[in-house]
Amino acid sequence: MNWSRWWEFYLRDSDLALLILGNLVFGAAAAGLALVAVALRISNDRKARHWNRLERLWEPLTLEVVVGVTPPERLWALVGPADRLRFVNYLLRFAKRVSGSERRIVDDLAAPYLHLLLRQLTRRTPERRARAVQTLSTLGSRRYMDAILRSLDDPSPLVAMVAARSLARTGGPEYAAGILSRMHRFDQWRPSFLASMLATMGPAVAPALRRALADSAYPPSVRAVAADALRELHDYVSADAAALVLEAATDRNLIAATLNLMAHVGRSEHLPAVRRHATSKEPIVRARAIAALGHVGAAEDLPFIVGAFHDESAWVVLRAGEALLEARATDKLEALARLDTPRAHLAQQLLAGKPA
Amino acid sequence: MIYGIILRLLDGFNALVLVYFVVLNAGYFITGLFAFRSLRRYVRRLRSLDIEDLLGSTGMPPITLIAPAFNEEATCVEATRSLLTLRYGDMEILVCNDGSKDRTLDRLREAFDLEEAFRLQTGDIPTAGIRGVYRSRTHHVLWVIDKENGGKADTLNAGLNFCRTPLFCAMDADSLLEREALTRIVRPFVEDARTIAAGGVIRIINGCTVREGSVVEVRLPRELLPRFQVLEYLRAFLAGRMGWHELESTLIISGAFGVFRRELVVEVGGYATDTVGEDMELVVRLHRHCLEQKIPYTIGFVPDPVAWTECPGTLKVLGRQRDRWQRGLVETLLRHRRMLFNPRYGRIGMLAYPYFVFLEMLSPLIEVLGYLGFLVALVLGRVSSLYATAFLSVAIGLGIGLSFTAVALEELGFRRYPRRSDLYRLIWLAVAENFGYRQLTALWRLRGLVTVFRKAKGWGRMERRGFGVKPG
Repeated sequence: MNWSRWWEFYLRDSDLALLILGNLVFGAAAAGLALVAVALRISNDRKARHWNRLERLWEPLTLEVVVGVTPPERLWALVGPADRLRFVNYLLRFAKRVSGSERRIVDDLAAPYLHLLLRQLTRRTPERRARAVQTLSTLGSRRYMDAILRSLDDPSPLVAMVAARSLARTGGPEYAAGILSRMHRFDQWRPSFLASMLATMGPAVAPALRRALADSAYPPSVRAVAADALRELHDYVSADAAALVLEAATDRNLIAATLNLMAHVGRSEHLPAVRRHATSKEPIVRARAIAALGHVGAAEDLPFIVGAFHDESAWVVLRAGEALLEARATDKLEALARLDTPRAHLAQQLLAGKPA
Repeated sequence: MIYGIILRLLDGFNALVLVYFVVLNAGYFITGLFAFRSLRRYVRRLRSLDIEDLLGSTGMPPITLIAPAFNEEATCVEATRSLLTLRYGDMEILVCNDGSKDRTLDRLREAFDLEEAFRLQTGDIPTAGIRGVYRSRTHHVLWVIDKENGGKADTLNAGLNFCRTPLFCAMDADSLLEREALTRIVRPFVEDARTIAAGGVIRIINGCTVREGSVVEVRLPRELLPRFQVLEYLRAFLAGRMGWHELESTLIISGAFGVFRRELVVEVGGYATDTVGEDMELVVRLHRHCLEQKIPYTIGFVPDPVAWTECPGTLKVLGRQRDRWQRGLVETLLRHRRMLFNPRYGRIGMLAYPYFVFLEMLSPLIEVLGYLGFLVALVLGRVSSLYATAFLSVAIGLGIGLSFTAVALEELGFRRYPRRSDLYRLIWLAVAENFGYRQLTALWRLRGLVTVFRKAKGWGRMERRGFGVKPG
């Protein structure tokens, strides 16, 4: 390249020369981006090929180990030092396909490599830590519970949530108190999701949930989650605590969740606590109270439920129809079905056993 | 004398156009950079959460899919079947027939054994008359609402009036959602209870192989026009919306696939029926409502749940579509103009809104005038080599760079086009689209800008070939 000619050109028309230079730089950057895309594709294809080759190598032996015809050492011998975490990832996916004793064999296959994940728990990236927690809880059985428990206090809410879900799924009820005491960390998460997480721990967690529901020291949002979880568990013992909550609570969501619990587990002695909310100004509270009345209500509540069938809120109307059905008040529903209003169709459909 | 003034004005205008092009592309480039950051984090996060675990959870919020259909006899059955195969715990499907003139309702009735039923309305947004409500005897989650013709927004509102779940998903009846798309798009609502809306990605189905309502092989279309649109969609979703999501300033959620909190949408009055851009208008109105009422909220964009849709295959239909999109954009931006540079609306008013007004709404006008000015100056001999180089580099070079960014983002995140030849084609398309296609779209968008005051409404005719036919 003749640099002196370029220099002459620059001296003659510096603006144009700079622009051309800028274009060359930008063009190189743009071409670089295209090359990055191609390089990424080549590298990913290569990785995928390597990964597939390894899987084809591991898969038949894994199956043999799982059915007990080959010792695990033969499979471990095929795992090179650089592929140990890949092997764990492979087992993580394989574990989803098996259960029972076969599943335990998969956990044992992963055991010699899981300590590598403990190092991942100190990584800067929260997503990596979360992934490590998830893998440890899935393949680590109860051996790594302490590490997972510590992750509940991880600075990242994501890691804490993955730890909580892991403990709820694979841990025992002894971890319930630990999770409940950290529920404030999950206040951004959807309450029904949190309730479902707690309910996966099974009936043994119910005493801790009952205590949380009754304890006004907990934020109303946490108590509402506890009520939802108790409902999912159909915990009949919690009805008394729920009635007390309904007497004193003022938070709309807590009242609605507790009424929902009552609609599943309430008894006739809890009627006064339910009735006081049946005329609430909040449609969601009214609707839940009507549903609860359908479950626990006495004959004297039926006219009130029939009245709710004409409520301005569609939600209350729906719950009233279902409540009459649950209370086996088919005569009342038949009377409503004969009315000359569009809602009569709703009653007809409910009577026909069809979803409305 | 006058001629001299005109020439000087022309020079000034051309210089202005040059600056505008630089700012426009710089804006795109900056959002692209943010998109890179956001996408990297998202991909890592995706690996840290188990989608099967989420699918198995009973805590996922119930959701109603509202699929408005207008003259969709070619695709409605397959699209509805595809909805029924979605992997999601608690969902209902409302297909809303907007007074179709073809056999849409008949085909649905035959395919899903529909019977007349009653369904209580939970909302009272005014809509065109409801002609009938049907429930499937074979699929208890499927309902069909038959109504008088009222346009897409009106049809979505009708669906909203019958929706009973906390969330609803607005989509096009002719789109195919991926099996796990709902679980993935609902995730922001689970992880952050402040989420009021989330949008997914739209990808082009032309060229792909569809079997039993699912895309089983992803390929680039064989025709050039749909191929250009593939690249455009990549740029719009991965570089554009992902970037705006990172800036917490999402203004657009595509009408073909978005999830919203029902209660809030009903509270703001549902979709606006007097605009063709009802999807963007709703999102802007939600921003405005929440900011004015000081409601804590967030609107998200999720880059991996995909709705596959057929794109226009002819210039005529594509032109109509772009015209309509531009009209929708302009109508929305004019309607909520008080948000412009208004600090009350935070980064929406001070950043996203000005960007969309000056760099999206006005860009076709300035782009087309810029090309004309360049040609006039060329004819008059006013174009120096400096200006010509500068104009071509900003008008074409920056556009190429931007498209390369989108292709790189696709490779970084999703690699949906598994054939390496498709990747090379995308790179080639990034260059080729700058010679004719981009100018054409600018013209169509300019037409939309000009005709915005005519208040023309409607769905815009789209000739569907059906998913069974493998489009070119």
